Amino acid sequence: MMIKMRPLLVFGSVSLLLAAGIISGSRWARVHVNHMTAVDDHPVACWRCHIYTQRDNFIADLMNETYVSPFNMAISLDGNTIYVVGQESNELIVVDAVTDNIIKKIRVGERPHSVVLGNGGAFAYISNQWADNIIKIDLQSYQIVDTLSGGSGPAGMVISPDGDHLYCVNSYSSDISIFDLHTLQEIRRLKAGNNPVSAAMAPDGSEVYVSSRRSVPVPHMTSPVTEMTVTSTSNQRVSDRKMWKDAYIMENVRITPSGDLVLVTLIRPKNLIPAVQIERGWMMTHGIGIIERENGGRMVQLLLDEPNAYYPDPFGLAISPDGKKAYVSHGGGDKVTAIDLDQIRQLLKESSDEQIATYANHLGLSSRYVVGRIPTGANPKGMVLSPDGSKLYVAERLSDHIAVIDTETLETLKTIGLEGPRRITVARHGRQVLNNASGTFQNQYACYTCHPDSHEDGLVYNMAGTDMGRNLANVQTLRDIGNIPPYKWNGKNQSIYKQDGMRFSTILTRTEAFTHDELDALVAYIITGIKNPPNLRFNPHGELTAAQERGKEVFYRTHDNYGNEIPEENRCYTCHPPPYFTNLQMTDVGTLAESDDPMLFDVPQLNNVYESAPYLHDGKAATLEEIWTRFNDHDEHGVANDMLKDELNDLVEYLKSLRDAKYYMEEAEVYQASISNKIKSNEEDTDHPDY
Amino acid sequence: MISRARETGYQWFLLVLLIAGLGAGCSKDSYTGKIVAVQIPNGKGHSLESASLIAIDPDDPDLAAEQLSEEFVAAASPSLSHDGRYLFFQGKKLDTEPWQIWMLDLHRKSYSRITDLPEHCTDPVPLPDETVIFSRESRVNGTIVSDLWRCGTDGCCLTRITHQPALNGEATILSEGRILYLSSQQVPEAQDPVLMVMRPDGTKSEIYTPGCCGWNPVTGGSESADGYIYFISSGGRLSRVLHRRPLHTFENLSEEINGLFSAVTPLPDGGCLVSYTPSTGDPFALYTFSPVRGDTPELLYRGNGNVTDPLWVMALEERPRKLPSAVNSENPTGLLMSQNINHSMLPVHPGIIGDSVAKSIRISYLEGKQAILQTEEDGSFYLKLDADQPFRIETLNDSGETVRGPSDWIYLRPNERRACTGCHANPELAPENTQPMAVKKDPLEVYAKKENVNKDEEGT
Repeated sequence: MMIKMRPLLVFGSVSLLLAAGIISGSRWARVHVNHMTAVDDHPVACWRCHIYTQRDNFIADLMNETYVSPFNMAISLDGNTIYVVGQESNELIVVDAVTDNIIKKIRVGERPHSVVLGNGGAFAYISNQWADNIIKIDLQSYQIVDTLSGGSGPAGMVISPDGDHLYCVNSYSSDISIFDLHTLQEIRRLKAGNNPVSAAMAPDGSEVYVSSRRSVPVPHMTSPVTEMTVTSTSNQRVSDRKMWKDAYIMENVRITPSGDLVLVTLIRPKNLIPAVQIERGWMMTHGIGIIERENGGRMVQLLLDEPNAYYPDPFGLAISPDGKKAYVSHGGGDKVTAIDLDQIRQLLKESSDEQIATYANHLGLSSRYVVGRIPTGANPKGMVLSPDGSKLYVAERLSDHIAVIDTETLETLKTIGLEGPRRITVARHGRQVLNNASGTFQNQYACYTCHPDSHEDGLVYNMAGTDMGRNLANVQTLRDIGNIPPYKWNGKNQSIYKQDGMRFSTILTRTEAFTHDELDALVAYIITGIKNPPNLRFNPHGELTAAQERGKEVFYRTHDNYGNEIPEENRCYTCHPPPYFTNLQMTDVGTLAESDDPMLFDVPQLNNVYESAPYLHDGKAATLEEIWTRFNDHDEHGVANDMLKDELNDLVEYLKSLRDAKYYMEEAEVYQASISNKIKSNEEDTDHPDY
Repeated sequence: MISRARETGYQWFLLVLLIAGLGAGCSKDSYTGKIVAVQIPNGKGHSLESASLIAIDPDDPDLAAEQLSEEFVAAASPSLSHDGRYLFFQGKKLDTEPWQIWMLDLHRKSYSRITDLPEHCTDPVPLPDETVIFSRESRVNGTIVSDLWRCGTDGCCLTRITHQPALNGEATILSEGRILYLSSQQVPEAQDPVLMVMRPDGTKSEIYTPGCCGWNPVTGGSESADGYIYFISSGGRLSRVLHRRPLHTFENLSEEINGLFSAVTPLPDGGCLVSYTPSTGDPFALYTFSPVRGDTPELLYRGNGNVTDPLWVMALEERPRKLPSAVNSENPTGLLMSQNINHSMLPVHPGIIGDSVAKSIRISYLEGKQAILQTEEDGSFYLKLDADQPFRIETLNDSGETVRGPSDWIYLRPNERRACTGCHANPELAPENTQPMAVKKDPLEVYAKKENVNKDEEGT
């Protein structure tokens, strides 16, 4: 009987073991998912985290697509052809505006930004922001015929009316390159504002206006001030620097055909006031800046928002040929706003300077000059008008379409597909979530608003997590952060899921939390889709300069200038080892402020640190140098007070050379090996003191 | 024998399936597209004590209305869940009992009682998280007031969410998730009603619209799909404001129309369902009205008496947002900050002799307790106060004279942090981007239970 029962017993035992394994495994999985997501109802589905977030392998290749992501555009003089910059596909796409067909796709450089037409439309110039060059394309043959080199991060461009000069704004080196279009050589470099992006030429060709995104350095905890640089074309010198108070992210500048008004899109952040609510424009407001060129250059800011409705991330700007209408695209709100410029002219004419001073915060004023809001596809960016002003073309960046809007009826006539992938991947959905403001109360701002280009906006916020006025927080980048938990300066969030989860909705977005699908997609995008731009400015080829090499030695030094051994816990590389230059630990470097609750800080990554000013958890160090010259009196943030100024300069040069983590994998292995050897050596050496 | 047993088993199984299917079919919704309204019999005027709930077929309005509240001696104030399945109303099964909140499952036609409280509970509005907000009567200093409360649809977790001494009621939920409600201050003196808006946990309560031109709201507001809030204002006027800018977009839609309106509900097609009478003395009936055309309303249904508070039974395309709550009952205080008390729309107090620049504030509580606190040089203040205790603020000059105020009643929910640009500043002005001096220090603590505390004397 026992023999007969044996198979049954075996089967039963195996089943029991399997069941036990599954039950305990699923219990473990539930605990694991709860821990990682900080909620107890996220679906236990391994692939949502472990497959969606794969990078740089065949699974990632299967999961992801390369989209077009149309960004800026130009239109031919006859209006029949549109030239579209495909920011993600690294293409210039030539579209027949009559038939909606794609005529040609031309491979350009990495991360193209803008396109302008020159030589009567015979050539196109495309700025490649991540390749630090501008290419010239013959629009007959669609061949690249020349490459221009200027500053770092070329972005917006304009050509002088006589066709002789090209002005290119360099977003990373914060300057303006002027090119002679006959010789294609850069003939002048002018300093601009911080992170300039757009340029506009006065109709008479006399001036070029350049708008910037980030604030110029201002004293800690004062409102941002963003520069608009005015260049005289006659002597090719900066003639004015117009400072826009309380405003930043001035993405695009345009000038009316008559030249009477300069318009620029802008955001007015409220980073200095405790972030205790969103109602009544308490976090961000969005609008336009206006310069009355014929009224002594009076500068005015007007909002496009309304008391209970917000239109975030204004980007594209187009002005009708008769100068009576302007159109603004809102990347965070999937809308285009139509503005009556005559109403604005009238408003400015009848308003005193005292009244105008109140307009910048007036949410009710927009009803006077806004004449329409047109819904668009995902993340509308650059726009162009047909020469007769009857059609507005809008690049729907995260839909891979161009919307065509009738400017008379303010209705969308059609969309033109750019042959992007039909499938919306999880990461693409996540990018849409990051760019769209529907996840905040009254759509007041999107993740992108404080993290433009998925980076950071250079501001310090009074997040008011508990009390008001305490625990100021410097916005951190989202670039390549998948491997460096924990998150937040106080390291309280062990995963990005938690960072963007329930508490995020309670204290920041103040509306319904993301759904599980949205959160998974957002996390997938953040982990897989946000890359560091190349550090072409300070380390284009991986070969360090002499100063950077010396700085590297300082970074890795173990003894100070007096021969004293630097305690291991106070060496730069201990907390900031490659490849991410963070040891993922919490630490105290003596930077706690009076307004901080007692806490340790999560060691931040240092990849591309050159573009993350200001520094330290509360942004009090305006430059890298200030970390040690102003906030390290007791050598708690590395031993630095023994250094000569030259040595500190070299260290800073080395830090500025740091680029994406992928370049430091070998160095990380060497470093890890040396640590292992050291530990092994310590274990073998019984006389070696314990640290 | 075995096969017969198996056959019998199959037959029973099929029978059970059939019964289950029929049962499921019976619970299917048969009210979508119908109108639910309140009918008050002839001779009872507008008294709800004899009111009943009826369902009307708008495609066949001559058909007799179906009684929905036969088990009740009175039923009124219907409101619908976002999925169109549950009808919430105030009802009483005995003349002698107070109004309570009930829920009717329109699919199963079964009633559940939600509240069982000693006071009148009226005007329920369901929220998308399966809670309901309603109005509950009480008294303050002998004066009848009503507060908004919130509980689960099973009656659990009862929480009071408004605390100002006012008649608060006729709440509705906006698509963005906030609650719109009618509020009329009663203490120290009665004031005209206004529409207020707040988060569902009672935080961030602020004025939404006072009406216009001497016409104040007399009903709650209903949101249309195209972004308007419809309500009735005094004098039986059909009114609306744009939600995007409610303080300055008041429209009197009945300017050219004779007669009186008593209720309105917007329809998906842009029109409205209204309770209207073309002449005083005639009973109110149900009409349709087009705000675009503005013509005289068209009769839809005339009942036996006044017919009012119509609802169109349907599921919303998108349910209202569920707003998270920052309320923490373990923290009995709230924080209040103002950027600059001299930033105000209110006129300076008449008769003031001294400076019109305020340098301090007086906090006054219902019980008469007061506290005076110095503001910072920039006019800012930052306070920690008892939660759920209503107070008013006056701004004072150096001589202690009232410059402006007192304000309306303010209250903070437990753990609420709230900030203002000024004192009754223009609600359409976003704040200046400056860090108020007051928040660079710890908040001044002001508690209702301390008697006549003068913080100046305590060296603040």
